[in-house]
Amino acid sequence: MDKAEYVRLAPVYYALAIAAVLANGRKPYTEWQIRSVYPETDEQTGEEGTLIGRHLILGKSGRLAQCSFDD
Amino acid sequence: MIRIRTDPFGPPIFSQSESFQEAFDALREDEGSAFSTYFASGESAAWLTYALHSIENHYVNLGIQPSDFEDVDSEWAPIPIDQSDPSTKNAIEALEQVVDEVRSDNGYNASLPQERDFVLEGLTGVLGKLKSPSISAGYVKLAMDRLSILGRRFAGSVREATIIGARTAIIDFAKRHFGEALNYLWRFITFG
Repeated sequence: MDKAEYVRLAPVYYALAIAAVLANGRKPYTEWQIRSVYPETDEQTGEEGTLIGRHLILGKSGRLAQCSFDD
Repeated sequence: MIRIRTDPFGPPIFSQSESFQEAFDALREDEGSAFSTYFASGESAAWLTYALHSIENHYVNLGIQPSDFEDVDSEWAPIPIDQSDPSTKNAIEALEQVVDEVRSDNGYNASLPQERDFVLEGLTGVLGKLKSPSISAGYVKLAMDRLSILGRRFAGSVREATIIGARTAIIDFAKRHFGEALNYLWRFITFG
């Protein structure tokens, strides 16, 4: 996999992660609540994080789908 | 498919749109998509978590940089327009209707002339591009941005249906002309 393919595909997996939460929960979620469904602990620092926390990927998704934001 | 409700101070709220289940099912049946593989796994949280871990690992191993996501060239790459395609005709007609209605709205012009001009200039520019041999994704985004402004301004009014119709027509046009690469993301667009 090269960078271009990664940049194209990674946002789709983030979208899938969000959709899976909504499909299972059938209720509204805040962004923070969705992120917390996919927790990750930094092995070096022990800091709690999320597997969908890469702002570059989220930004790419948001930029491409920015018009999805509700009025 | 996914509705994102924003707020000036509170965090965004994600929820299912009315078409969520239909779109989700269609994606699951789309062989080769991540959604299909997720379904094949039995909608396994473990599979999805593994995939997200892999995305994280690839991010580090590939040395992903902010510049890799800038994507300026593709956003402004000219895409040939099929003027004979119904989606093109529909998009032009729908945008023209919106422009005509906004231009004739004296109340909007009197109360918010700068916003009105901002919206009209953007939509008129997009209309010109739609009638030309090519267009870029940036223009489509511009149209959606301006229509979103109108959507907020005219929510609940008689113009709302026209605005929603234009959005739908632009999305159909984009799906038709921007190909499979954007298809998954276009399916997420909603305006609940």
